[in-house]
Amino acid sequence: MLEAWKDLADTGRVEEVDDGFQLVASRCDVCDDVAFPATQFCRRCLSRQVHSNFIDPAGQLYAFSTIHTVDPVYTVGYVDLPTGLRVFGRVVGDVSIGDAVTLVSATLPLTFGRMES
Amino acid sequence: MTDTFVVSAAMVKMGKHRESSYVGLAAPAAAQAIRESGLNASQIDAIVVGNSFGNMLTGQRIAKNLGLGGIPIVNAENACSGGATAVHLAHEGIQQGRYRAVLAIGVEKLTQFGGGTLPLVAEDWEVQNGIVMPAIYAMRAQRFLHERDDATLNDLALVSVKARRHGALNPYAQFQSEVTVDDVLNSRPIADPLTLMMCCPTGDGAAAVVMTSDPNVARDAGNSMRVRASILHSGVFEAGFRDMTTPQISYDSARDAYTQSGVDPKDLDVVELHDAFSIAELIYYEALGLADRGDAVKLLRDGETTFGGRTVVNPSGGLLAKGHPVGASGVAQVVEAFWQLTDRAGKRQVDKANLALTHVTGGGISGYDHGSCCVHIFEGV
Repeated sequence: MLEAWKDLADTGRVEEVDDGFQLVASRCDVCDDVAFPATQFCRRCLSRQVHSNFIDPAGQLYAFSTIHTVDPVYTVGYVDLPTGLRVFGRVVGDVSIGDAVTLVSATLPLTFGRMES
Repeated sequence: MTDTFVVSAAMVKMGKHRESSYVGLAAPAAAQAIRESGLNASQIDAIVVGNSFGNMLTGQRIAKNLGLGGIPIVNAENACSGGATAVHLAHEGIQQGRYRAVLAIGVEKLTQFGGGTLPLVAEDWEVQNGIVMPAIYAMRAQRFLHERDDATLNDLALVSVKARRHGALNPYAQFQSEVTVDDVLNSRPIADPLTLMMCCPTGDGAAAVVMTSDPNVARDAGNSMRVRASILHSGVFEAGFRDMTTPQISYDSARDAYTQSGVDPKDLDVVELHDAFSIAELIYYEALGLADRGDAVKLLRDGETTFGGRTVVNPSGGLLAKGHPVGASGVAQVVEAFWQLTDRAGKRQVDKANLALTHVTGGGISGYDHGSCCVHIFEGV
């Protein structure tokens, strides 16, 4: 029996760990493709052999923009992770292109802020 | 090989038409296009209608007001490329010999949403996390200003100033007044660094063209234009790094259009490109081969893309001034190309226009630069 994929119920999870947060991605056992949000089959090779894979959310801010069309305003951005993934999320605090950022909360929407140096 | 001719074109003025339905927007344009084609309704073999928010059977609702029925009607949804997709499908149906004459329509009513940014698909992960279309283009703008030593916020404003100057010559444009660089920079912020006047407005509109393979119909209709290229691409998913100043889907679509037509971009007289936000025009100069990579700002500042320049870009005022009712835009661009290539563009007529390119691309979906892109090249005959 082929079941529908409950992708609305179980995507984009964040796990709290001792020293911060980790993204719950998926990794394909066959071709090693990593996906976030996690998928239940591999989008590259269509294998169903995929498993949860924790990813460090620390990366570099590629671009960001503050959106003024709603009140309160909010900022979004793209973060490039060392694993090669690009993750979209909210951005808080005073930031610049290229800043080292990481997740600052376990709740959705994903929220990134500058790493404490 | 069969030629496809666009033999007639019509549109309604773009703007906030709150008292008009999808039928009220599209039927006048479609009826006018049929009348000017010289064909009668019974000679239309199929209808394709681009729209994104018209709901079920938009094309059939329009057709029943035109005395049309019993023929294939396809409702094509491809976000901002929906209208151009209708033109593309009409062309393909004609090329395959299935139809002799096809009516292609683009229509959209955005005032139904009451304002704000374009509603995106709530199932999408980035949408759930707060992406909106202006933010996508804003981040492209931020990267462009970051990476290009010669680019300033003033250049983003100059694109809008040019669009509004062109739109002031177009009685079909939503905005028909000129603005200054200061007006643009001082308009309210939408998504940093983009201000209100760097963004296309919310509006309603419709456009229609009749296309045929029959050279006698083309001859009887008077001046017309021939399809030299019709290219449709979807985006390519990328989970990782993407250069936001390099819109790959537009590069790929343009490359294929030039290959299909044998046209050199330097020979284009008119280009109607997807300037949904002012930054888009600059990066599409390069994607469409109007400027070498790195030279977009220079092309704009040198006046090469306005009247008197090498290639007039968006003589209609583009999406920034003419307006951008999503599904209507792709056909409205083809209407402008038709008017330009048949010497019917009035005050904004480009001198001796013979070759025109139209380009739309759209959709905000995670992992794509855009979901869809459609490029056409036309030649006056």
